[in-house]
Amino acid sequence: MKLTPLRILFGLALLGSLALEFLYEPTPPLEVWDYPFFFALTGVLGCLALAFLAKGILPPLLDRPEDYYDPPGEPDGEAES
Amino acid sequence: MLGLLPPGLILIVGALLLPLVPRAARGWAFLVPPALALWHLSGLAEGDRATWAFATYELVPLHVDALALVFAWIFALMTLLTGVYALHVKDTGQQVSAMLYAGSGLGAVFAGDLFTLVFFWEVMAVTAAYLIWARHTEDSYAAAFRYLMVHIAGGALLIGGAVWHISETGSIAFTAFEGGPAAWLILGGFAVNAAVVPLHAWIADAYPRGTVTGSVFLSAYTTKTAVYTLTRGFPGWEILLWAGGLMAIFGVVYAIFVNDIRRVLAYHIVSQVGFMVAGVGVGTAMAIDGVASHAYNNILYKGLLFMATGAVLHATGRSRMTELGGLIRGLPGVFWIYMVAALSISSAPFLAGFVSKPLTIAAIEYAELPALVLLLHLASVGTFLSVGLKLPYFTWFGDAPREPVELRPIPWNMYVAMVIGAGLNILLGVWPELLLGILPAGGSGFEPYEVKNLKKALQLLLFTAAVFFVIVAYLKPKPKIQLDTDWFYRRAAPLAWRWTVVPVEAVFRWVDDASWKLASHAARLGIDPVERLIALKGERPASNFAPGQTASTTFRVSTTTMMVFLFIAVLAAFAAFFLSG
Repeated sequence: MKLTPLRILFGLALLGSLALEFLYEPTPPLEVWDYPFFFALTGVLGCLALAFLAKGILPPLLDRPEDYYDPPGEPDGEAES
Repeated sequence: MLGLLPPGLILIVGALLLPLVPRAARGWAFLVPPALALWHLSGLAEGDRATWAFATYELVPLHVDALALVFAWIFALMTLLTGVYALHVKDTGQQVSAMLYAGSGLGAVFAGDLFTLVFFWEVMAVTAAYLIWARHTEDSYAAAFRYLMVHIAGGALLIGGAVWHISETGSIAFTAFEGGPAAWLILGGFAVNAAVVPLHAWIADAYPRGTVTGSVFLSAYTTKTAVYTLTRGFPGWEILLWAGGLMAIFGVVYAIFVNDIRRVLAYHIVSQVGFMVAGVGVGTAMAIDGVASHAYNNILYKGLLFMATGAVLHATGRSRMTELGGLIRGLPGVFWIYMVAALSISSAPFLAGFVSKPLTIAAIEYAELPALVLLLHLASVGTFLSVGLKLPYFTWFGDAPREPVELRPIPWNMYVAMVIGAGLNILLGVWPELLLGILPAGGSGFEPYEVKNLKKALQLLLFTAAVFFVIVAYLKPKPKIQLDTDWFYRRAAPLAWRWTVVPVEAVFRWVDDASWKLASHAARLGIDPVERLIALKGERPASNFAPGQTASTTFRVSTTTMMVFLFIAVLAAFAAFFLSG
């Protein structure tokens, strides 16, 4: 992967968000979301889980052709706003 | 000057006067009623109340408290802003129905009794349906009809519940309900408008099919009015906690895999309203603050998202991601405006959503509902993934479509409205006290700009983005539609037609045919009974008539014969009647 200024900036932002853990000390009793890097992990795992659910599991069950209910109507945007 | 006039009536009267304004000035005239309503709102205070006598009841068309004012401010402000966005529209029907729709939403917010609420509720349903119908495509006609049918059913639940409640309690006051069948019916009516799963399918069916400007109006009022009425009528009802959690996840999952950009936003309304419904389920002062602020901000950024996607539709004539792509060169301004709204709805710092969504989640944390909190965090990931990453990537970047897009110019007023909307999102993000200060509990001491809130938001957003750019090819949209709960009534309609209308029609057709045949036989019998009797026996009467002689030549004889038979029959009937009597 080629390193571009935008990618370097994005990487630094990722590290910066992790560094914020050291500026905050949660008060007990701790909930699961008070543990370090919980939200980074939620971002990664949540994104993967939702993407897999929406693109891997559900489409075979729920995807249908666009004219499933009716024959195709007029193209979108034909009537003026 | 306007005293205790319900602000909704300003818009409704304005709507009725609009057709009288010359066509060229009507767009500008549209801005007057919401501006007047905003001015009137600034003079209203908590505790203000107006009553009107109606039969033996006392209607309360104006009941002012802090919660109503929060919703009223944003309703009136959004009407004004969308009026600017729609300044170029010359369709009287759309202008009048949009104003009536906004006015009835505002009317429902100040309704202090169930009759007034039901009235405005029903006006909203009809006028909203017109905004879908006004696109004038076969799809939009059908979707508007389905919208109307679903909302008539929801309205029936509300009316049934209201009548039951009034007959039980003798009171028409719209206050918090305590339970019982009447309250459940009313809850059902509110749930339809709030798009509570599984009663939500109308939103994804109708909103993408509305007009460009109509869908901006639609995104603001129906679901948020329902959130308001749920907050007033059902705070602390536990069922709403889990209904809200389900909505939050369900909405984003669909938003990730649908193809139409305005359908993405429609499903995402289900998710965002889920946060609010869950907050209503908690019912604490802090949760109500969260609900009110989230509804307020949601109207702002969801309206802006619909404006930006509407601008794409206006410019390209397309709304499917599979037919879009590479628009960054043609519509860069719309992209940046869209991203302000998308980041705001994703709770990015220094934007409006950073204040209201964490406030709602904090209230649920305080209520010690960890499972629900986790669900809402997961829904936040889905929000950014669907609205903040996937939609803009495949619309403005990604592969250009096979058929090149010819861009129509976007009217200047659409840009002005979008820039103002983006500015308001930034203003409420950097100056949260503006909104927190008008909430019923003054924001409940919530401090958005704490390190823990910044950490939450930045980690969630940045790591979601990091994964998205790795799996972006996997998320490529497909030219498909997705089944939802509307399948039951859209597929059931032809079946119901086949099982009810078709058999009845067949019976009618059979009776019709039989009647004609009977009449035909009777006529022929009247013309020549001898011929018919012989024909019935299977013999030809040819020997009685000369070849080529038609039946008409025997008419006189047979008529006389029939008259004699008829006379004898009538005489016999009379005789039988009088003799038996």
